[in-house]
Amino acid sequence: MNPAGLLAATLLTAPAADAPPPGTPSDEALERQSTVSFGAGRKDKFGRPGSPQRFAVEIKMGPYLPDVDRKYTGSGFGPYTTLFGETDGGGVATEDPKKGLMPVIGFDWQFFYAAGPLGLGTQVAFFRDKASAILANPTPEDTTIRSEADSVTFTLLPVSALISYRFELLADRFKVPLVPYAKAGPTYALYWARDGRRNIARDDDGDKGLGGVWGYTLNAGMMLRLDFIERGTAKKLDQTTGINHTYVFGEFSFNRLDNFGVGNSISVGDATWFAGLAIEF
Amino acid sequence: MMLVQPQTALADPPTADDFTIQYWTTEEDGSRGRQMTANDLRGYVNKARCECGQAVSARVRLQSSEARDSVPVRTYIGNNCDTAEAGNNRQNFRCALAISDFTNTYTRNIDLEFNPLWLATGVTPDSPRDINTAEARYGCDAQTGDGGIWICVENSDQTDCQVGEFVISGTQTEITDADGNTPALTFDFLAPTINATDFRASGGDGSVVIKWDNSTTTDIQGYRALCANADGTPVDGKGFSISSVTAENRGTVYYTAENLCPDGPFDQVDVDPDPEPLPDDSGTDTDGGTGGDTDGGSTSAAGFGAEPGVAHGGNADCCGPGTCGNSTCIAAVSAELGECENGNEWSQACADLALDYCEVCDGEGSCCAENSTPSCFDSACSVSVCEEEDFAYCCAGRWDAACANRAKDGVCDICDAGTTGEPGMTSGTTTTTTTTTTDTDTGTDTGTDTDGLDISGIQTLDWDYVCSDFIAANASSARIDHLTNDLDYQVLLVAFDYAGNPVPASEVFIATPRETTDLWEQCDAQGEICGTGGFCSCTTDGPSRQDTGWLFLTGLLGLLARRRRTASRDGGQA
Repeated sequence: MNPAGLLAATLLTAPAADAPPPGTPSDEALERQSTVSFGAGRKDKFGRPGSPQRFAVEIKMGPYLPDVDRKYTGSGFGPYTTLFGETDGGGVATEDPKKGLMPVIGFDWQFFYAAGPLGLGTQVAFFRDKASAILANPTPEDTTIRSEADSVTFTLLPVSALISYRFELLADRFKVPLVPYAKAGPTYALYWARDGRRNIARDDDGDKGLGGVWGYTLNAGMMLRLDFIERGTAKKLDQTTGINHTYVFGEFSFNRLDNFGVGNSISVGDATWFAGLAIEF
Repeated sequence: MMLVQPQTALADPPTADDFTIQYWTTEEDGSRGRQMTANDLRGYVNKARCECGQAVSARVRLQSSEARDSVPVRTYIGNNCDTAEAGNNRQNFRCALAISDFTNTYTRNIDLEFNPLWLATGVTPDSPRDINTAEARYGCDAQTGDGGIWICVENSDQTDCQVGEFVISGTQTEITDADGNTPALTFDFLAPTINATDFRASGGDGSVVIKWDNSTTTDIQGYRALCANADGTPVDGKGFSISSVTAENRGTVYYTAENLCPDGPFDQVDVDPDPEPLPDDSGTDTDGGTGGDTDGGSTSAAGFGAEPGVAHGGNADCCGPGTCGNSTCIAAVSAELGECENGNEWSQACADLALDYCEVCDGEGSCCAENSTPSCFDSACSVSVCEEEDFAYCCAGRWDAACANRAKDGVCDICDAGTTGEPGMTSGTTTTTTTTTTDTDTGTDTGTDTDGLDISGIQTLDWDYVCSDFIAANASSARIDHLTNDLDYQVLLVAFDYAGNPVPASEVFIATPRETTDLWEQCDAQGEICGTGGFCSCTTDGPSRQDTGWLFLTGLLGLLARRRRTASRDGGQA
């Protein structure tokens, strides 16, 4: 179905703006019964009902696995999988690592409205992987190549600047509780690797396992506006706290973090999904 | 001692509130150090200080706001001095007499120093009472409790102090802690009970990691790890020292006499060469005192509970011949041996069975060193020692040094050379464990033993072997860094209580630090996949082919934007 058809179908299935479903009190009735003044007919400068809407905050989580081995073309597993991958009883990697859980917190400044807010924002994420270190010189007497004493870690802290657009027209005007959105922008990912002594890792050349890498992030997802569950409560929330809307959402996230391919840089991006909660205020 | 009263009565005799009692530490030469803090009162007097004869200094003063009766006032050092004086102390050993003078003398500051041994024991019956010449009934044996200065103000015609005449009962101090408690002067000559088991040591990169299971709570305050080279010598760059013998340790340091007074005791007290075994609950009870006692003398007022090892009480009788008052134990033993149904006729055979079948006879401490409990943790060893008539008391009373020596004298395999016979250990071997996966702890034991190695040095617990900072009691692992890869090290974990009494918590392990590989080294080995690090990969290598598309797209978008701005400007001009 093309976008126009999708839009038409959505509009047809959505309830009319002035005709709430049977049994649902009208906005006017809610306002009459409420002790809170809703400010009848109050709209922001873009014509949306409710208090002015300027910002959005979201928290989300999703699986993540940095594609460190992306550039590896040799036989067997790449270095990341060799260390952090699933292992057999002898500590030898046999499968790719399991994805870790990455928490993300994001913030948007919504500076323009065109059938939905256009925003400029940032998000910060965190990822850490840990594994038993590999013995540098295992002996035949060793039943495993792993050290019980030492663990090695790899930590990632991507920070993104994102321009975002949320198509809220249907939700604002026609009470369709779905808001598609997209974000894109540059990302700088700080990373550091620690050795078994808990120090920053170093290779034989003395290069430190510490630095940052540029890249870009593309997010696209769908938000479910939760106002429809209790419209009266949502309006009260807006009036009392300034929170216009609350959402649960899911998104696909594509991260290419390899310094745009320039130079000899680590690659720590991933294509994954996130789910979370968001508010606009 | 008869004192002659020189004056007639002027006013009421002094009470507890009229006296101030203060305590100080002392240096090696006996000179007064700093005044004791609340922490000192609770944990300064330990077995090492007792063995070194590091005196406690005290000051006694009677407030002189009004004229007093000039009556005899006697100052004793010890615990339960009132009941001992009356002759009904369980030990029946009277406290050492420090001062005997009249009221007026006490209105001046009276300073005195006394060996900490006197806090725990009385004088032998035939000994002089004077603290400078008295013979102590017991040495620095496993005892704990509150002791201190007892003051008796004679107010009757009887020449000796009576129970009701003690106005200061050992626990009075002038120190208040942050919680508002006024701790008494505690003596603790008892090694803690080990609460950790399943020790393992493994080698890391330039380090050794010790892990253990820590499931129960005892009086252990913390741990220190000790390291030695394979030949038994201390490791260079390790070791521990204290700034002075009076340094406040706040429970982070252990003491042994060899560490505290390596050149010999600062002071010595004559001790009865043939004392009877200590009763199970000796020294733990200081209440029963008279006026002025604020908390009954319990050592638990601020979290310092009684040592678990002395909690067996009368039930311990089941573990030796005589009587058994524990019905559960009687039932268990009589099920195996019919003649043991009568607890009042408890034979050696019954007692031997009790060691195997009765929980009350389960020892908790070391077999090869003295511990605070009847018997030791290894029941086979306990039976072997206690079945000998001369050592039957080891399972009914306390596993003292003689019991330990007997165990080491070929009676108990667990005390063979190379082991310490501590709970949670396997005789003669040590174990290292290696984790085999990245996410789980499935592992295999690889074992390294100490056979043929000289481990006597590290077992002295000399501070030169200390190679870790303080390790908290609730920890279950410790890492010892700055070791050399591929060299064998002896490692021992020492537990200690708040007073600093140590006990080897683990066996001596042999562990070898081994080099490990981290991500950056692995990347380097597989073609520098991770790059060179740094915060700006601004190299001149140029873009790789696969990403020229991104740069092309960025340039294209830039061109489109410029074209649109140009068109907009042109339109505006039109």
